[in-house]
Amino acid sequence: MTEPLLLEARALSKAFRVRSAGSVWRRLTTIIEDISLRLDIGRTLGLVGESGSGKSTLASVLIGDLWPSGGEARLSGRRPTEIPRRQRARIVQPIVQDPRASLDPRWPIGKLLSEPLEIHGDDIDKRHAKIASALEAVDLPSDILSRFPHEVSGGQAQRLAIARALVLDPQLLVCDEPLSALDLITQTGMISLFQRLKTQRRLSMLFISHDLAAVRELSDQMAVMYLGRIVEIGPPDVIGGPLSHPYTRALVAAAPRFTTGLRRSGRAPILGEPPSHAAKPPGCAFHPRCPAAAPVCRRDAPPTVRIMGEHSVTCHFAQPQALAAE
Amino acid sequence: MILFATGKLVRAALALWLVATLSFFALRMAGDPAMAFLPPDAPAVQVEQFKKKWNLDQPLPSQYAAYLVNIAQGDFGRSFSDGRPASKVVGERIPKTLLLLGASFAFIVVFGLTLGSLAALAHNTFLDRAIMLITVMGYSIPNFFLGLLLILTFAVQFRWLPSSGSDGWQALVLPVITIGTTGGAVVARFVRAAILDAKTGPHVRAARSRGLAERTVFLGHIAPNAALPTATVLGLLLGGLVAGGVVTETVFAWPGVGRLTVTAVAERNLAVVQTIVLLVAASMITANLAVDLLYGWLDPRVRQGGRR
Amino acid sequence: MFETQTVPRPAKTPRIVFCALAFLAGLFVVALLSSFFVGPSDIPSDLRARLEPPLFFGGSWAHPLGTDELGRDMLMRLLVSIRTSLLVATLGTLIGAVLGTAVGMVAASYSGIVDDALMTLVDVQASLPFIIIALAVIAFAGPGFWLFILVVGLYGWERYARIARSLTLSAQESGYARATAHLGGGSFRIYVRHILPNIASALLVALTVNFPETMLLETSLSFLGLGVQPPDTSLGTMIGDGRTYLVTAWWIAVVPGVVLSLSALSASLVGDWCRDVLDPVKSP
Repeated sequence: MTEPLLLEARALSKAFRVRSAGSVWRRLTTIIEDISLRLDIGRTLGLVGESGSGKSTLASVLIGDLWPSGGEARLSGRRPTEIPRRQRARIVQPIVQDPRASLDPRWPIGKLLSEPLEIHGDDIDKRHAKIASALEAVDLPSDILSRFPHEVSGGQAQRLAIARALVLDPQLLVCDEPLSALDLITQTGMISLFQRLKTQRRLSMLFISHDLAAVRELSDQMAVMYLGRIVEIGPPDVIGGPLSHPYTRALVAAAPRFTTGLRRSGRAPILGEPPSHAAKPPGCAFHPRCPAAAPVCRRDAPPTVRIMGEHSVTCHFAQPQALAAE
Repeated sequence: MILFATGKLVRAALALWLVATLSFFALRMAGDPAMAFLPPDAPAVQVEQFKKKWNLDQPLPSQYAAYLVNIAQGDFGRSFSDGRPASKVVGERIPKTLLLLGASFAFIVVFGLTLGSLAALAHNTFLDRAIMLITVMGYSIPNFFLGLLLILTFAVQFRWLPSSGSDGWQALVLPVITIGTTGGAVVARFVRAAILDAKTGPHVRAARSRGLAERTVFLGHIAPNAALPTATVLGLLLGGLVAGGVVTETVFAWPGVGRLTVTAVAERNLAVVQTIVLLVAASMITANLAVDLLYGWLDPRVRQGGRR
Repeated sequence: MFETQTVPRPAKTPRIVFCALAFLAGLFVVALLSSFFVGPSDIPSDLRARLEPPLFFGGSWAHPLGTDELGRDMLMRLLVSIRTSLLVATLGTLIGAVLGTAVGMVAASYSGIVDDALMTLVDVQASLPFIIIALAVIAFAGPGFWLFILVVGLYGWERYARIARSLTLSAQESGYARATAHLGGGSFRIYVRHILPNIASALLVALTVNFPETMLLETSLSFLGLGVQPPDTSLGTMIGDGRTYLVTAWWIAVVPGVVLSLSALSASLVGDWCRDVLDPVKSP
């Protein structure tokens, strides 16, 4: 019997009741739709997309903060919302964009770091060892323990947030834009930290970012989201390549060159702002901005096409490559 | 707007019902009214009779139902002490109280607006600081003590004004000052802050830079912007006015609802106390409703944003 | 609120606030010390020395503040009364703060019906003058010292409830509250150990504003004869007693009245100052 997958989503969707401006009634608005993905122990899945594409909502559903509206999420084989809070904390820990806000400003850092262990009832002498090892893993000096959150830098705060998650020895980190509040040099240090955690602690990660280069460096598998749907999923080296979804290629083209480690395929800038979730275009949601849009894109929802191996693209013009090679 | 008004109306009705229910249960549960009202050595037969007369021998739920039906019909029960309808006992006191509170409210508005504007116009001068100190003292001095001091000075020492009763305008002067000082002080401080706040607005600087006279700037640009917050605080003062009325009417032996409250409470006159509680609640809730509706009508933002 | 927008707040504590703090501190010390050697029932009455005026108004050092209608020493009565009034005001303020904060936090943490019900209660309370409710409850429950403290304590609970609710609503969306939940922390830990300390300063401001008002409520009720009952005496009962002798012996009412006014004044000054220091942005 094989171990259950660490993280799995099957046709997951989430809708909220949203009141739009000037209206009395709340309308059901779908934020994520028909999301399917899998993540094994020790692997990292990168998730990219513009802001507002539903990445954070997906993360919240996957870690059990929100109930799914449709489909199913599984964490170690169980529905995340059904795992008791403390057990769930031992499996998955989120790392958020604003680490400083996640540290109670009135608690000294030492107390903040031992809090998770206190919650989980570890005895005092074990706590010290675990805190020391977590601090070492994130490269922080132990004299930081007597300071308060507002006395450390942004990068240190992010390392602290990670250390605070690590003391519980979780299997999975769900990192939601963990780099975007940091400056470039700190970002580089952070990426190598995540890489070390992957190899040394065999941590799995769901790594959400709009920074393609960072995601590419860390991920074993990448997914691209557009307006609540995954439009492409595959290994990092094919994402953005000539067989990619037009949206992915546009994303790559829009990224500043010195941070993307990859050749640009075509220019294809994205036109305008993404439409809102409440007014999704019919057919393929990307068609109003797509340089290759044809009449069929306006009419029908595109199929998900398996290009090769683990690489799939959801587009009317995607071609399976295994057939072409024959 | 209709939706907004309906919502407010439902809330007000709900609040009124809640007050009626709470006052019924609080008063009934707090102690056996028969024991409280009759002398402790009253014979058992008399107690039975008393209970029967006031429906106190029935179970609580049916007492409650009868009570709700009765107040819906305007019947608030009878005063224990003289057997007259409670609504009449309270009702005949209302005009005197309205006179006193109305005059006090006018005093608060005049006193507060004058001192507040003066202080704001003379901002950071000696006058400003003096007025601020007076207002702090004004809201710190308990009104019952202020009343006694006024009596001591103007009635006992100088014999200018009567110390009690309600005959003629002279009798009104001291009670009005007693009630109005606290509220006036609060309003003065608030008006001052509102004017200082409005003074710094960009449109005021613009008006000034167009070369308008200081008088025009104040009346045309500062005062209107300070008016809305001032109206709000005046609305909030109504509760304090009623509370001040209870104490002050007692100090000056003013024959109004406030003094009736104290005597009714002292002799544990259940029906009268309940009637007063409901009367005060109904008037306060109506006043709040009126203010809310006025706001919704004046300011569309209030209509949309839920609870303030 | 009164100066924050226009004038930069002076960094130094104003002298008058110092005086106010000193006065209040002195009052508390006197009240505490006096409880060692004088109780309400051991003030001797001396019928030969009735209604003696205070020291500089024709009185003597035997009774520096004069005597009352039973020949009891006014200074001793004053000490006992200060003690009672401070005790009731302090306990009352704490009761209201604890209860109101609890209600506000519960309302914020359970949205929906619980929240609506509690907040309707708060709205109703806020629309009624508290003294009316207090009077009704006191009269029908009969006199009783601890019940009286409880009733006085209820004063102002709705203000704490509103403040606590709105601050908790935003605090529970904050990163640290979420992080604690993600670490497996329970509601008690999140609300009491993390959110409460973070919203405490605004509640503390409300507390300092509430203290003098609670004191005035107690003395008002006692003045009306419906609060503290003999043989206990508060500043309010003393003033109430003195009312009868206003013409012949003004000091019976005026001496406690001055002490009471000065205490309320000091407490307001300290409260205003606390608000400026702790909560410079928003105020009621």
